[in-house]
Amino acid sequence: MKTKQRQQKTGDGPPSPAPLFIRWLKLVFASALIAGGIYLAPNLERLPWLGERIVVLRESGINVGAWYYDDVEQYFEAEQYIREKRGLDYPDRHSNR
Amino acid sequence: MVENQETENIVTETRQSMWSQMGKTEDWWAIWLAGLFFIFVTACIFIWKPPVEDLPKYRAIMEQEMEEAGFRTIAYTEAEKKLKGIKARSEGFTKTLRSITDRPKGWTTNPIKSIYLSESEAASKRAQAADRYEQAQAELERTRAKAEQAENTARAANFEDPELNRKAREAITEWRQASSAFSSAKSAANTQPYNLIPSLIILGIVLMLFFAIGGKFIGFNLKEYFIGFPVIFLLTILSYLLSKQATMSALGISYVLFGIFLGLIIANTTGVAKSVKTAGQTEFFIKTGLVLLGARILFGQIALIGIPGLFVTWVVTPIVLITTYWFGQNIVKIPSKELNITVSSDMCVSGVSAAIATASACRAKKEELTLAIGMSMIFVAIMIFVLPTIANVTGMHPVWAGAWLGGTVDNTGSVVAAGELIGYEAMVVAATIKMIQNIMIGVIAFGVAAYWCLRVEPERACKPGETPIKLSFGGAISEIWYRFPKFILGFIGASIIFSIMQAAVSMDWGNAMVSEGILSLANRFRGWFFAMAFVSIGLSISYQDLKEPLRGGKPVILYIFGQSFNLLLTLFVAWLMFMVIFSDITEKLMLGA
Repeated sequence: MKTKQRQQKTGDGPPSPAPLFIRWLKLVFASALIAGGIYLAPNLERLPWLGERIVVLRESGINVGAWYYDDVEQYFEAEQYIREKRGLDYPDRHSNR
Repeated sequence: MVENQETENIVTETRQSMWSQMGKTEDWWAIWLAGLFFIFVTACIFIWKPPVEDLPKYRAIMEQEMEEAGFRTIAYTEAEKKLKGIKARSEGFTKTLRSITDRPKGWTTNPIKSIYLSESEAASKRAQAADRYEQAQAELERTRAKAEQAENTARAANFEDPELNRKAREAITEWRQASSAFSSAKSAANTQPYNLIPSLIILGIVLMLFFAIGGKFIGFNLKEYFIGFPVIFLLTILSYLLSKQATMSALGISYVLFGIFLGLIIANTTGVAKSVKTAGQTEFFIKTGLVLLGARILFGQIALIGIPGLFVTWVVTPIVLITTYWFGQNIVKIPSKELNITVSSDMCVSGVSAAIATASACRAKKEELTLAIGMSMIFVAIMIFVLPTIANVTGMHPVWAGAWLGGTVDNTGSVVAAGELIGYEAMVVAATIKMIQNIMIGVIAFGVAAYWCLRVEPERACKPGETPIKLSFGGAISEIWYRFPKFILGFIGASIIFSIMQAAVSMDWGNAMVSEGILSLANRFRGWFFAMAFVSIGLSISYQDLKEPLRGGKPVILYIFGQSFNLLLTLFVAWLMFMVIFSDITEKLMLGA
């Protein structure tokens, strides 16, 4: 059976024609940019409106970057809350009290 | 699974027998390795078993207290604390195994503190926290005495007096909050020095050997793999470390983005050594991680918030997914179907997790996955601040707002963050809706894999311009089975096995042994597998690769259309379900708030 090849270009391609020194210089520059960005990031907390919200999230301890629910502690708290409120743990035997 | 001998654009496909595939392909080895992991961890939790025999005793106290009082009394709370303290992950070798998977910790200005804290620095932190600890302790004692008095008074009236019950409930709630604050203060006052370097070295060796087992059969050049792996692992640690900076962390910029960035920078400046390329086994890491992830897709949680939750997730999400994909194919005319479905599922299901599962299921290119994840993270960073502001300014009901956020904000942690900016009830509902949506990933991945086998792959399998061969039913089944990405079977299988396991055992035993045991460890290892995968993705992409799929801004148009449609439809359905048809559920969720 024949199949059409999807062109897959990756970083495996031909090396950059730039001299080694220039390539290392670029790496150092890019790394410095990341380091600088992170160094300056706390200043975002000084911005009006956005800053207040960032502080709230930072102090809440929420793992904002998590991308699946079991990495976020509050999910288990939420599950417990919903179960209790909906009477899934215990039948609502005492609603009259 | 398939050996391809390239001849310009056409490749000849050599079929492998199923037995050969099972022993030599990364799809199957992802399943074998994950299976090996589960067997090993299950053995650990049974050998170093927590005192699960005490669970019924604590549960009985809780039930008796609830039976008598109708609310959570002091004895209930104490029994609950002991019950929740029984965790397989806190015992013997299981605890050790978990501790070696510790990720770099949070830091503010000094990144060294992410992996190392000296005794003097720990002592300084303890001293700083001492006052707070003493205040929290005094508050705990005060509220405890008040709660005891109020509860005793209500108990003397046989819990028949609603007013006394209300006062007791309030006093106990106050004590519980003080208890929570005390735990936090105690933890700060007991700060211990740490040095993660030895455990990270051990973890690196463990992970390297773990994947080498499969690699030997798949056909890695093991010599090069062993030389290159430390570089991948070091970059992985660095990506975790950078993402743990407090502000970055609050913005939701996770190790995923840093891993890709670091890899991209290196690949596009100095270049990547052959040994590092050999060690950067993106697909193998992702597929193994996905099989571990499958174990967390517990179908028992689908009905947690009832029919309205099902509508917001399992009805709206597929509609948005199909509409967005259709829009991408027919209106925007995205050149790659794989890019289209990856962006669509990332945007409407649950961000990174859905993107990874879908991209793997349809065999999307690495740069397509990178693009989908990158766009999603940028939009999420905006949405977590803008959507709660809209909800607050317009005075949306917290449950409605929570359902809206849960159904639309891509990444799981960001959903909780956005909910937190509205209020507790919104956060709880948003989190629950997202959790139900997360469970959908398995179904989506399975559906995409099946669709690709049945419709997309046969189109590709013939020469340009030719009509795909019409297969008989049996032939189609055989073709689907042959082409189906087998690791998806492991992904779905793990989900089914753990869903059944969770349903078959008691809730408390399941939490102590499965959730806080097997799955807790699976979570830790999975995180490292994916982090290594993202570094490997970055290392294998050139800037040029990213330009092509971005041409004409088509993916951005697709994302904006899909997300706008998602926001509007979810807003309407959440209102209809939670505010009109099932308003009783909303009332219950708000009761006592």
